[in-house]
Amino acid sequence: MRRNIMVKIIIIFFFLFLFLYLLYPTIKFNYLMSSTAKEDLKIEDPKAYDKLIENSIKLGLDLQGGMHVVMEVDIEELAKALARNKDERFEEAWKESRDIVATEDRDFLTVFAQKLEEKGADIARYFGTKSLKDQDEILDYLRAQGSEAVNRSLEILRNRVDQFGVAEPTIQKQGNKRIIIELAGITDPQRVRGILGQTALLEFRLLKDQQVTQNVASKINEFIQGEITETDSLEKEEPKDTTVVRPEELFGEAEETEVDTTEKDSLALEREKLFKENLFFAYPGDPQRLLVPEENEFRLKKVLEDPAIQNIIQTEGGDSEFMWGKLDPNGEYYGIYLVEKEPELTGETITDALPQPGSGYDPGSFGKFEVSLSFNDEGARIFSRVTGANLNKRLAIILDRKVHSAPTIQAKIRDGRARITGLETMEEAQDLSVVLKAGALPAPVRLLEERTVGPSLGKDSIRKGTNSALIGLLLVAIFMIIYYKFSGFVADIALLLNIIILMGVMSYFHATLTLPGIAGIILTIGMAVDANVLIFERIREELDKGKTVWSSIETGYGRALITILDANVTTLIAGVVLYNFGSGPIKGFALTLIIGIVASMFTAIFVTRTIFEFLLQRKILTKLSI
Amino acid sequence: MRFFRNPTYKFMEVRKAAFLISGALVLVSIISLILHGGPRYSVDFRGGTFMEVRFEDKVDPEKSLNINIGKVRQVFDEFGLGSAEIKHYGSLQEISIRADITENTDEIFHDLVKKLSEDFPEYNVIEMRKETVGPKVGKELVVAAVLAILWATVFILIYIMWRFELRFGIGAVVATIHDVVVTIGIFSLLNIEISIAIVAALLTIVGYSLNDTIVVFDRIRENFKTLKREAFDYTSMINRSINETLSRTIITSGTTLLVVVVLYFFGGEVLKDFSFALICGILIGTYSSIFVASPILVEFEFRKKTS
Repeated sequence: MRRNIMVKIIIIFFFLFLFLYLLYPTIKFNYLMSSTAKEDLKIEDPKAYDKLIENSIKLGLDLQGGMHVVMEVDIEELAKALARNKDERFEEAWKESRDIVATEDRDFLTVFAQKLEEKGADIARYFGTKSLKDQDEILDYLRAQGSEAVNRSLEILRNRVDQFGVAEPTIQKQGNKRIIIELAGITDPQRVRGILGQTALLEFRLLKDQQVTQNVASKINEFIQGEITETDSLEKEEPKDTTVVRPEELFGEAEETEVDTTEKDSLALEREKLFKENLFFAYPGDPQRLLVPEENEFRLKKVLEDPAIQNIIQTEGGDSEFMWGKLDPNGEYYGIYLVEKEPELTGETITDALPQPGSGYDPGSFGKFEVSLSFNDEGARIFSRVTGANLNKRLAIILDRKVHSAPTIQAKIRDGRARITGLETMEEAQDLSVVLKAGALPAPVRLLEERTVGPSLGKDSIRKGTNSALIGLLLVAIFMIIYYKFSGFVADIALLLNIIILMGVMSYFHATLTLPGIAGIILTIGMAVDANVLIFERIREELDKGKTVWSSIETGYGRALITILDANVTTLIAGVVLYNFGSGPIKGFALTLIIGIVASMFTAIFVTRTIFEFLLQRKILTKLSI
Repeated sequence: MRFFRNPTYKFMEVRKAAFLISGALVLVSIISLILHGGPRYSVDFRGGTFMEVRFEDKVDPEKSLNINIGKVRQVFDEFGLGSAEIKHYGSLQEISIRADITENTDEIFHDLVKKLSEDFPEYNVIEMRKETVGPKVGKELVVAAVLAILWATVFILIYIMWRFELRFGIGAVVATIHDVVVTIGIFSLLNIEISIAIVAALLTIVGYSLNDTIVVFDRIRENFKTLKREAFDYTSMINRSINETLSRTIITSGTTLLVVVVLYFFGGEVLKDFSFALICGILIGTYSSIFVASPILVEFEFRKKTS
């Protein structure tokens, strides 16, 4: 029996430490770290920073402020945009169908086809081609265009998400025509809509020659090297002197002398922290592509913004800039390319992009995949000139300021048809064609739902929510002690453990804490004592019958167990249904409720019982104060 | 400390009166809903735009202000939004706006806030929150919400029938529907909006009310087993079961009510209606587990005997 209890106690402490451990990142991130410490960690060790964030409980948009937008591809506008030879009958049918779907829950395309038929118009007249004649085929084609428009919008948003400057953006597809966007800290839906509405910026830019790229790279490395040793030696020589020459003065940008040494000091310090050796490497397989280890991304972006570095790029590389490519498939390195500042050609001139398998005539592309491009007349003319003048140079395809690929110009292309070859998979070719077409056509989308919460309301909510939780917890705890005396105190321990478990589980699942979620926690505090109340009332009844303390506890817990199970299962069912019904914040509420109930069963039944048994066995307790 | 020491209240003897009260509550709720043309939906369900704006003194942000709604309304009239509903929200320095527009709301409200800042030059006008829901999404949500409450009820009914008997299930479900209807009725009477958060509260009430009912039922089931061999009176057995669990019912309702009341007063304006729904639900749910669910069992027993 005694050993049995020790095992139980060990289990309880195991859980206590486990959940405290799970909760630690949240506490550390939200309470122990200053904002500058966070910023430093972000630069110094981005992996640790990401991990810390990932392991903390996330705050919902309603608590940290931000924007939640649901968008839908406007199939009506899309159908209109894709139609040719539009006449009066088309316009009428289109308007009537649009009015119908606005009030009834029906599929626009089906209604539209029906309306056209009623008016005696053949749908093939507007959408048909040689291969598309049948009505069903045309409807399928339009639907496919619709889902492609969703993918295009997703691609555009993902490509441009950097512009929002958001830490953890959520861009998701919901169903087959909706997109959910969640951006923390942004409260201007106009921006999202603007970004989606405009055509993507597709550019073709020439890569700088191999020698130039390598030269710029080594000059930057030298500069960084110098910067590091210089600060080192300065610190060694005159550690306390704050009026020493700062890097800014060395490079002639800071002309003021001793204006505000402390401010300048911290600025300089910020800057020095950024520089580190080996921010990027040359890649032997591709001398025009520099490799940047993933963890250096943030740091290098800041370094490249540095005026001194900018200066080096301009003097050594001419009119050029570094542009970022994709992360390699292993997720270890980014490629960066030194490209001309002026684009040779932009995306408006592209009329179509099709993914296809590599042609068998070309040994280089056999077994691989490619994208074939068509340009309009103007585009074809420019493309022909550019390719003719730059044979064997490399032309970077840049979408929204991100290098997608940088193929070599193999021949002068006169007919306005180009192929991007050497892609490994069909998916890759498909993605690229979506990207290329994205530059050609804006995605017709409309906002279905937008919710923005200002940061001040979020802070307000956290403060009020936390306060209510603490007050509620305190009141319930005090009541339990008054009503059940020592046993009430034991129940309070269980309650506290309950909250630790609840928060720990939320940390573990990286759950998002929302305002209704906080309400759920508060409600849990009130309801969690229920199990203990049931048990204690039962024990009192047994004691009233004149039973001993031991047997009262035994029977009390035993009898109450069934009641607790039956009663909690019903609340659990309601919670699970709610979780499936709700969106964001409501899910948060349901989740806290569900975890809270399960945790309360464990703490009330197992933990309090173990405490009682332990105390009685050790004779610390001989009478039950209940 | 004990609130009740071996209580012997005769709950079932007043069940006719209880039925009358419950029936009246439900009737009033339904009449109110009919008169108001259904529940008053928030923008979540109805579509439209909700905005919360806060005014702060430029010199001393902590100073409490009293914003003149009439002056704010004038600005809205200028924008052709005279039909918008404008009122104080939480405090006198915050206002909420509800308008039926769903198109270009960012631009409109951006201009509105700008105009408000010009008209109230001594204050900072802060956009706290803005929610725009298209009418289509709203309709989908109504369906989803109704389905959610229905499914929850069905699943719980199945569970109770499995663990207890059919009549227990019926008693519990009738009591739960009673609670939900009366809570919605109270909201309708007080003209409070039903938002998604309120639906969440209603589902919580479903769970809570059943939780309460089942504790009583569980005791009835237990007493039924132990007393089976003795000759006993069904009504007094149910009375006894309710009395035995009365302490627990009151204490759990009490602690839950305690935290919800705290939430109501300290949780901020966003959670006010939500916690109010829970307060109503807990009170009604506690009442119904004693005066609706259990009496239905007694009625079943009597019908069985007479037939």
